[in-house]
Amino acid sequence: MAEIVLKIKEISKSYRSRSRTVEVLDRISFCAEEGRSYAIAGESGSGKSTLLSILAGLQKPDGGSVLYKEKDIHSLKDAELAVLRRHDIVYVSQFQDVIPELNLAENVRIADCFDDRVAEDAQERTERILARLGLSDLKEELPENLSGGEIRRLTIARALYASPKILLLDEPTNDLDRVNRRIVTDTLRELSGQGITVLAATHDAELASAADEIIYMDRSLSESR
Amino acid sequence: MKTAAFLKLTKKQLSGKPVRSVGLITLVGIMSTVFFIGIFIIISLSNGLRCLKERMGADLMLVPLGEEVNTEGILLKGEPGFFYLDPKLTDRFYNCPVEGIEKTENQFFLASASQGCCDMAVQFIGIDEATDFTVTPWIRESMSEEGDYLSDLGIVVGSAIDVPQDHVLKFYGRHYRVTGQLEETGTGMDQTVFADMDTIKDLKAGAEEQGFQFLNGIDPETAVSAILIKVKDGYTPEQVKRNIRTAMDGFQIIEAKKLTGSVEDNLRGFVVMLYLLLAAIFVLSYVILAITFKLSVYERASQYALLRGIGATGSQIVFLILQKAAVVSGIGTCAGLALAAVLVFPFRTAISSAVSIPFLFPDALQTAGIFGIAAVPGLLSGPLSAVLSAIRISKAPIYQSQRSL
Repeated sequence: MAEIVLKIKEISKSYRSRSRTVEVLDRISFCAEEGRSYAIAGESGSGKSTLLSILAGLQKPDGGSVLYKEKDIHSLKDAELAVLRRHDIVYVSQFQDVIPELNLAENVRIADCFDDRVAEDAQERTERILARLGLSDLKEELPENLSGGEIRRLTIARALYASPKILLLDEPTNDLDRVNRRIVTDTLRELSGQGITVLAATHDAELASAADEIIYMDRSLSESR
Repeated sequence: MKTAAFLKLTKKQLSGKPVRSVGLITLVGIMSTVFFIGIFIIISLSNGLRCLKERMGADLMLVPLGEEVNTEGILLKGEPGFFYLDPKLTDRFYNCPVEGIEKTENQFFLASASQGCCDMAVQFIGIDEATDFTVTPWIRESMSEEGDYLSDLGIVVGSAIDVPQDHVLKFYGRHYRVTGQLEETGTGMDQTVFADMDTIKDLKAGAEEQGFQFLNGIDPETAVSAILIKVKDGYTPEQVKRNIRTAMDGFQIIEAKKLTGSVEDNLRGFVVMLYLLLAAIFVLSYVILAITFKLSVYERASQYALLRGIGATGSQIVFLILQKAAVVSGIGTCAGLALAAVLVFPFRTAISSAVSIPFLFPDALQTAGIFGIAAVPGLLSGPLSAVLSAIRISKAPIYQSQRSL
């Protein structure tokens, strides 16, 4: 049996506005195994993105814990959490978040700026990842010259460059055409084959069907296959 | 963390918004220029006052009644002038013992003409080397070699006087050898020629040949423009002034301390205004920079959230923002100081002549110090004005900031 890399225990989260409180996650628990891919499916507003952001340590849950290597990531100090986000649990948001002044290759390697370690094979690794995602010819281009699909692949390339243990993807095939969707889906399938645990929130049936497991969400986990 | 990569990112962020970046750099530059010039003026005034005090050498000056303003003009502003004490009064002073006087000397004032008979219009101060205790020590301090600089019609000139290559100046049709030039004082004495009484008599003879009448029948052997007094230890200039007044009247008695004091009083208000102006400029620049950096930081809030999301710590985000502010400050400060140097140094002489108050430019060491001091507000302005926004954005919730894209 594969090793459990992430234990999610009784996660709850609600958002408060002036007039109401919206309960987004209600005591969610599950375990993710090493090298398996999970598609998190559900209606808009069912809490998929919120769940991923909590797993990435980008926001704290109201209750519950996320255990990685037997440690609750939300009890880590800022610097420890930053290292975790840099190398272990890497998150790709659903937004086209890039640094507009940096070209595609620089955007992919941006996390190196924050690391004391010298990435000696940075160039080679970048080339390899860009080739895998069909972006080799665009590495010198600024984001303003890239299409939505190319930027989406750029953000995935940036995540892959980190060589993560766990990859969290929020709607990775959003706005992508059929060809690009296929590239992303194939890439993610390869990753789980390399021992990387992938959790992808998605509305995309093709991507979901490529995952080892589908988790349906409606505030709580209603079903898992 | 890799500083070079950070600097590259900072450079790209700055060049991505060229108008804003140039605007911020210009603002810091103007602030640094104003600070440099302001501090430069304050130090120059302070140097001028210090030199004036040092060069006065005497505690009291006796001049003819009503000649206080002319005396100030000669000593402070380098305005050529002349006046003479009534010889009877001078005799009375020397024949009437006054308590508290340690020593006295006589000085003789003469002005050269601006016509062709003279190379330039300057103030002459004639001294008797045997009794002089104000000018001779100064000449000795300024000259590298010992010597009798004023003998054989030799003259010693102030620093502002242009000495020709042959070291000869013409006054009233006669030629005089310049034997030395004094160090700069920032006072009227920089435009003064010092001579002994033999030279003064020769000048007077030359002037008379040219049709100038200075002495109005007063015998040049006994003519005196000012009697300078050094008071004894244990006496104050005020006490000795009172003693002279009790013994006789007919003199305008000028206290050297009051002469410099009145200059100091006049300058104090100006210097306070200058400090207030510098403070106002700093505060104004700080406010503008703080607002601009805040806008810039919040405009990039989602980018900073992205960087945090991919592994930047809060303190690295603060560092990134402060580094950008520091680069703006650094470039602005260097440009501002360079501009200040271009504005001040080529026009040193013009500024010095235009200012009719004791004004002595700082030496090289002081100038380096002024550069250092003037650089501080400029260099600090960026990081100081950005630090609050940087800390706030580094603590902003990452997920919510990313969603604000």
